[in-house]
Amino acid sequence: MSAIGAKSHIERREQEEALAPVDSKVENILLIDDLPENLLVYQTILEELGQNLMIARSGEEALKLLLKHDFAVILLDVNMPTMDGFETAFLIRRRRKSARTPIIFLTAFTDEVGMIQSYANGAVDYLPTPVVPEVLKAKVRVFIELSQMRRQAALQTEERVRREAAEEAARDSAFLVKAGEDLTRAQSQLELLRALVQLPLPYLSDASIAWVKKDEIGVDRVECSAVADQQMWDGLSEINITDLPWLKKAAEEVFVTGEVHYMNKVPTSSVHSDITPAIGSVIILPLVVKGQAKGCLVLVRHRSSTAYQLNDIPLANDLAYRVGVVLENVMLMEKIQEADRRKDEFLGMLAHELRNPLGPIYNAIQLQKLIRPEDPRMADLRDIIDRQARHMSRLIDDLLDATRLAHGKILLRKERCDLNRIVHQTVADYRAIIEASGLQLTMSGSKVPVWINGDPTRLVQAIGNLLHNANKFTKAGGTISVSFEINKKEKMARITVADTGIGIEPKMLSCIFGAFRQAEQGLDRTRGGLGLGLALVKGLVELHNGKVHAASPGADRGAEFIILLPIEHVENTKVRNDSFTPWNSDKKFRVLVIEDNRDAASSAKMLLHLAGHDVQTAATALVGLETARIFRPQVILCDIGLPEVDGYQVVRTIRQDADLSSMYVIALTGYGREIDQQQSLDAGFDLHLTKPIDFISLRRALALADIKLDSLDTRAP
Amino acid sequence: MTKNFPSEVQVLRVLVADDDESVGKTFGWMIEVLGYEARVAREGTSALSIAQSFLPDVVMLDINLPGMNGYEVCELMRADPLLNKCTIIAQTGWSQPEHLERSKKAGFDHHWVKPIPMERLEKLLISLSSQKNAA
Repeated sequence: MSAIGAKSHIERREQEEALAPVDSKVENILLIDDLPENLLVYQTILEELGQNLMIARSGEEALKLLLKHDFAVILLDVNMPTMDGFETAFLIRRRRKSARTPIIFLTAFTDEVGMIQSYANGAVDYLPTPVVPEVLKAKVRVFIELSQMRRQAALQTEERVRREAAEEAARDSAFLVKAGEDLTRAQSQLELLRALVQLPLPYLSDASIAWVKKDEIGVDRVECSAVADQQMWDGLSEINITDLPWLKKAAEEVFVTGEVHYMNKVPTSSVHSDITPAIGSVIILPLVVKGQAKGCLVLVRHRSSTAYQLNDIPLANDLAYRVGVVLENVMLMEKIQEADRRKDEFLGMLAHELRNPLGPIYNAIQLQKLIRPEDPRMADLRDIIDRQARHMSRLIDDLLDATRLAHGKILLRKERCDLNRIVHQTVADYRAIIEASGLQLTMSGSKVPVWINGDPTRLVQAIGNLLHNANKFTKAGGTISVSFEINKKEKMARITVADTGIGIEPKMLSCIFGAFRQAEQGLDRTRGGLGLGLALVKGLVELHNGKVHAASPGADRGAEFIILLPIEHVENTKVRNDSFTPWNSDKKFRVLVIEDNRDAASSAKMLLHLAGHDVQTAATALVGLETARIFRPQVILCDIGLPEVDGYQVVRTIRQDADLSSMYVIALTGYGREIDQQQSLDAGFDLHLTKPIDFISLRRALALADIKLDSLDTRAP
Repeated sequence: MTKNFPSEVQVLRVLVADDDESVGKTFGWMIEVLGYEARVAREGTSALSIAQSFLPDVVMLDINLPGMNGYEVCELMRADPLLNKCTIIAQTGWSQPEHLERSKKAGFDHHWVKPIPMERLEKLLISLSSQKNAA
């Protein structure tokens, strides 16, 4: 019974719908007559129709009822005292609500003039009184059925409108769901835009254009467009917004306002060689990411299509909102992918840069095993190992410093120091290397002590990095000029390092201080390095509340780097010795090593001794302090983990003792964490060295001691 | 060199190109200590011109050479009838797959990542030397 039964059921229902007597709802009938006996007659006659009879005894009363109720038909007595039937009918007609309600006039005067007047006043029918009950009943029934049919028709229309709205809502939501699915597949902004411009076609637009502004330097934006039907657009498969200045302008405004822009007319006044005349209406939607319009979607309808209406905007807006969400994800994903790519690239380059010095070290060591000790090449091999190992440790230091800088973890050991001395000393220290490259090095400018609150180690590093770069990027025969100038009024010092080297392309100038910049040169790089030097200079100078900038007239035309630093005080006298010698020169110190580990003590002693310093050792804190008073060292190397009294105690005692307090005290420890370093600096150490101590770091430490001790001398009256 | 007496041992000629002087120097000495003839170049263009007169059996090329990079030098050598039989080795710090791929494309026989153990170089030179003398 299933199939047939089901079918017959549907058929039956359709038949019922078609044949069913119209809504059996009770209709209102209004009876207007000033005579109660007449009203009673009409009521009696019409009662059996089963409708709702309402009575008015005057025109005024009838009008009141008409305010509250709808009537299927009105029976109106022409002859009434205050307001006659014609006037009442006129007023009924004037009201919008009752303008079309059928009125049957009832009157005894059956003359033609009266009839004509009745019709002129809005009657639809005319009955002479006394009425024939059958005639009245039949006429009223006709109007009741008419009213019922009209009501039914209105209901059906309402239903249809409702169904259509529901269908539209369902279509819209299906559209949005599909949009969501299509968009989330996108892996990049370009893919997203490609999917996006297809989506509204042809449901929402005849053509669409989307673009996203890029943050990255170089690429202005990603743009896409598509059309639903090429024929419609003169065979074009794409619409380029830059060809439509008026549209581009409107879209750019959307970027600023972040609001939907809607144009149901497009400019026609100007002369267009483009497709403007074919465009009928446009909606421009912002694609919002984190509250900012990062892109826009332009929906375009052809002139031949229905123009956009305001009620098209909510769906378009909903789409744009969803795109914004997806765009945010895609942007984040791209950012992560880019960071990941940069990281891989950097790691590859790091390995390359570390293997470069490792190669010759390895070769030299293997050769040392093969050749006889007295072979003259031995000295060369040692030099190679020395130079390359230094290069490697510089790379590693730079890498660690750059990481610390990026995480805000560089601790400045700020003290009052003489910037003049730091600049001249750094230049002196680099002179040998620079001259060995066949370059000329000149130093000019102020020579008076300039006191600043800074970390001498870090300032030396910053200036040294600039010199290192200048040396690296300038061919033999060139010149490196350093100048040091003071602006007393603005309390600023200016250090300039200028070279005649390879220079910097104008477009690169803005980004050379960014970390890992050099990395992007890929395989064409021949000069090596991690590309961290300038980032470090910038970071270190900024930690000193200073500024750096670079200038270059272009490639192969040299470059100039400027460090600006705030200063505290400038002395009027010139420095006594205005010639500086490199640190690793012959300056000798009295050095005390306080270290309980006998091997560590003796190796430190040996290293220092070889460099020509006067060295004494002590195995405990107490012996150390006693030795310090007699031996009066300029520099003390003190282990932290001493038995009984530890290194922190030693340095505190030294700092409190007027005789010893000016000594340069270096902490020796196995721990190199920031916190350990901070702890030793807090306790009063000048420097924190991590064991094992090698010759280079020892030499650097003594160089720093030299600066400090020298500045104390200069300050002494 | 023009005559090929069976008793005469042909010494392998090796050209090393690296912009880092210490790399060239140490490889040069190493090759000499191992009993072969070495020549050193510090940039791409001179590597090529030295090769054209020195006619090496083995060329060890750094990739990041100034003037002309190692890939270009290798490609030009492969195109030169006098040099295309050389064993050409990329000796470099680059070790990612794309670098290896690029070396292969440029015509390198080997891609060696620095630092290079002497035994590896020695092994290769011995085998090439015996091939040369057997021929």
